[in-house]
Amino acid sequence: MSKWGLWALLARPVRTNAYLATGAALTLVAIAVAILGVIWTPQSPTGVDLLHRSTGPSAVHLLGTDQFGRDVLSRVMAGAWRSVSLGLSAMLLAAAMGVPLALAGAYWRGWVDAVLMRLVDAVLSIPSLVFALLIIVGLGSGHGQAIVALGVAAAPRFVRVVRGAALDAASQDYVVAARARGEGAFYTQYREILPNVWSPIVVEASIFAGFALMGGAALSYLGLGTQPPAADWGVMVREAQRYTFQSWWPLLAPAATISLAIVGFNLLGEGLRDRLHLVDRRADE
Amino acid sequence: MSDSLLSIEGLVVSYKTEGLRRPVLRDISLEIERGEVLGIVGESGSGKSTLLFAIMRYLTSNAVIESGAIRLEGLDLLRASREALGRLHGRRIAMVYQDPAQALNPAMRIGAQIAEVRRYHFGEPEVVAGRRALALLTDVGIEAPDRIATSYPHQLSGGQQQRAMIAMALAGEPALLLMDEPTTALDVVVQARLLELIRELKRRTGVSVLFVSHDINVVDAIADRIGVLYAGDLMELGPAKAVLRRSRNPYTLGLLAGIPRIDQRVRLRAIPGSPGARHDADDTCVFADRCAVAEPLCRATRPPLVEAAGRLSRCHFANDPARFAMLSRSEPLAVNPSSSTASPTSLLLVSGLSVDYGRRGLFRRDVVHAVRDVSFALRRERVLAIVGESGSGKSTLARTLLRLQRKVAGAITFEGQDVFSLTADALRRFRQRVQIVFQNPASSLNPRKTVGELVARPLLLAGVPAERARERAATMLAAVGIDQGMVARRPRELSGGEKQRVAIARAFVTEPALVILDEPTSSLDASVQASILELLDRLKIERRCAYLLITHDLAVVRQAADEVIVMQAGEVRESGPVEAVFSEPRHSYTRSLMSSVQKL
Repeated sequence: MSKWGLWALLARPVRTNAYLATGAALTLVAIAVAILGVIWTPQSPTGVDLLHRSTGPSAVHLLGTDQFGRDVLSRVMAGAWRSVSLGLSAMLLAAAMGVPLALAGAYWRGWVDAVLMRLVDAVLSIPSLVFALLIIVGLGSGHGQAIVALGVAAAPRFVRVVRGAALDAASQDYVVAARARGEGAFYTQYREILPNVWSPIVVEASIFAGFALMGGAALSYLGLGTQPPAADWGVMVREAQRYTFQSWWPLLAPAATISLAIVGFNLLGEGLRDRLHLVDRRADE
Repeated sequence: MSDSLLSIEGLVVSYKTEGLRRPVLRDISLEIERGEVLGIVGESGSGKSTLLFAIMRYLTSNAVIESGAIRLEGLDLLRASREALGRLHGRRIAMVYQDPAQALNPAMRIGAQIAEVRRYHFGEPEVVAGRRALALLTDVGIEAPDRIATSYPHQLSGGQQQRAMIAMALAGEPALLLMDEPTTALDVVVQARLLELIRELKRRTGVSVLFVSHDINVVDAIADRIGVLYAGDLMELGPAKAVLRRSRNPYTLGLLAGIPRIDQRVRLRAIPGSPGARHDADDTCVFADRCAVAEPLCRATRPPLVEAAGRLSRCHFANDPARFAMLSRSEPLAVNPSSSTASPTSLLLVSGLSVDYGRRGLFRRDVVHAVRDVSFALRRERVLAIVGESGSGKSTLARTLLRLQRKVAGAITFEGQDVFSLTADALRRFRQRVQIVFQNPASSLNPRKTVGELVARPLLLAGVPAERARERAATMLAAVGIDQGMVARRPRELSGGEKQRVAIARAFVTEPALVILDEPTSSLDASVQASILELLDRLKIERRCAYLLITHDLAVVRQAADEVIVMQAGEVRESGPVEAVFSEPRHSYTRSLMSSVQKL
């Protein structure tokens, strides 16, 4: 065993647990805050306090107020739902589109697979945010449109990742056995192959949810996502940047929550990747 | 311990898993003399790989060496520093792995890999080391060493790769070669030549070899002395002849009685149960649970390794040979009833079948003629074996018979109907009447499904109501010896033999007329193989089923088949009744196959 190998072994369990634990904690907090923000905030997110405009943190306004004297903490909480749900919805949409295509390609192979993968390559050669912008151009701006744009733009990533695992599963004898006893394409794809490719799907979904959250914020920041007066974190950053010199809290708070949520989803994905690979390897033995 | 090269004394190794320490090697003591080949035979879970890794100090991080010593030329390997081991590996000890394709560096030319050993251990300049590499390649019987030296591993055949691996191992002029299943991945003809090479190298260089394999026939062909490992315990150790011809150990005898022979049909006797590490056997015999002659004593005291007729045997009754009489090699079995007594109607008729095989993508078309002009007939309730080495087209043939592969020419007729022009209804019926059992049950059983689901599925597909399907699946599982308690388990919780039984149950549950057996026993341990052959033989008679047996193992053909087809490079070389083909092979390829088989 080389020195490096030894270090990797020593570091591995700690790192795996830390990734997974931190990622899961951040993700859970983000989702909890998003749900809480819908039903309760410390102050009204739209309540204007003209006496305290652009103030720093205080006992009443824990994260200060914005240029209209609105409570930043309450606004971050209220905006969380739109940002987090956008990430999760775009992820679900991307998976819902990508997974069936990946399964179909892996099952039929041949020209179905070849055509599909060339399409995927073509789309992947365009940066996803640019591709999402192209879709927005077609659909118009808005929260729902942003979800569709990001989800569609990310579907090829799911196809690529899931197809790899699905090809492996599809080459196993249990798939040949299914065909030999006359199973249909649907049963073979969704009951024989799909249960064996959950791990890459879950990992990719988790990492992509963070990416979509960021993409959603970026679209809102550009004025193409959520439209004011509704606010998500991207809209908040956009509005706050003009008043940065009066108070930087309205800018820092949503920017920091965006970062924390992205880090959370990514760490969760990395942690899951280590953990699920470990489980799969054990299953093989 | 006078002149021994390697001596292992009281080695105990255990693995830590989930806070428990499970012993994998129990008190192993053995010696290897200079110039000797010591063969170690063991099934999965016997600890044979752990033994090799302990010698190389390659054990995984959860392995604990509890006690013992491994001495090479006096140096205690278990206490040697990393630096000392670095000087030793490749120089005094070298290892040859089962899969050379993985052991060789794919990004380095063969010659450079061999030369690297010379440069590292002897400090030879590149030119000298390169010349030495060529000489080594010649030594291991590689023709055109110049060409091979400048090739990359993937450009070599499996046999050439293994020879290159051996040349690399010899480059350090080691005193001891450790060989881990070095012939297992090779075809039988290549295997025979490689064994010949090892014998010759031993003669010429005086190198000692520790040869580990699950294949008793191979070990018998190469070893001077043999150690039999079971569940981490050395069951028997002594001269090869004494151990394999006049064994004094119930486990060795059980293994031998379960191996089919190429020269005659014998009544195989399987060892009941499945092999595997015992974790709780500190004060019993590790084999007691599967032993046919076990006494209460065997479950109360761990037997010592006792001297018996020139070998060591771990059995309380090693010096009481009368006890083993019933275990010794079994009686010959009558040849299968001749064709006239069986039903004469033909079930499957294949004529002039040709199949191309290749990846056909949008921009790709590398087509191989996998099967060329193959014709044969299989009658009801008979067994036809198709024998061939890897790449002979036998698996492609099987897939085509199942209509999973497109044919190029020829016809397949099953129960009087052309398989390739069945109506949807007829095809559904065909799918129930023809089933397949694969080589590797770990791959043929979906790991996410339970045993009950796996066996009931073909019935559900055929429209049997769920309740009835469950009942029939349970009955079928009972018939193959899987008890009710395992129905809710998933494949990974079963042993290899149990998995194959489940796969067989799944094939038989729709009452097929033809079952294609694709290497049904070759992924199984020796002691389990016999029980699966026995089960298949019983099911064939009970369920009046015909088999198409695809295998590379001539002994299995002799044991199980009525007729045989020998295939090479997609073509039929010879066919006929098993007795006739085996006693008087007419084609030169058949003869070379026969002579390559290591006979016990």
